[in-house]
Amino acid sequence: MTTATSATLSTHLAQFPDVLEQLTAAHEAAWVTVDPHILELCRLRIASMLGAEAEMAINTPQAALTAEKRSALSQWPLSPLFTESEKACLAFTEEFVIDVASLQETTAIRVGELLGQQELADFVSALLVVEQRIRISLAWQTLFGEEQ
Amino acid sequence: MNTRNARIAPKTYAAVPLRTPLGDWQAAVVRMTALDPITTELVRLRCARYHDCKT
Repeated sequence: MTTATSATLSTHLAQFPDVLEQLTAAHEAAWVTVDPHILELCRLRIASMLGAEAEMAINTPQAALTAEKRSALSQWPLSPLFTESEKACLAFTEEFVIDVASLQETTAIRVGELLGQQELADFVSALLVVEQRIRISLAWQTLFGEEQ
Repeated sequence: MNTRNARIAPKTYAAVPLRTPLGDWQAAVVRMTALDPITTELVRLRCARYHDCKT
């Protein structure tokens, strides 16, 4: 699926096809390695926090996220629609986006307890790819005065 | 110096299908030449320190 983010990345990385190719491969791998439902919740939370409107406007089909749950995302700590694993990953995501260097040990441990150690490692790597794509795209859109 | 504890069990890495392109992407970025080598290294070291990366 071509999104505004992938279009921005393709445009600005046109002269660096190896960088674009590997970033695209990592992004595709993220969605098949990590539970796409959880990753979609985290992608939307990142987009919301960073003001990435184009990212918020799209759906990842394999995530199978209902409109009800999507609209409840901003209230995830109190919503019964979210599982404990999803809440742990969303808490991790919020700290990751705000200041990754200050991410609390308890936050990371909670994800590991609920998902497993291997899944925690996968989740962190997938989250990094998803977050970096959005941040890089937003930075270029802002620097070059492009529409989202 | 940062004294954070490890949050992931030793020798636990992201799955190969994800880790390989992620590593290749980061390597491809470092090979870019648009930025001069000194600035590139300063950014790399700043990122490594911020992310508590000892490699």
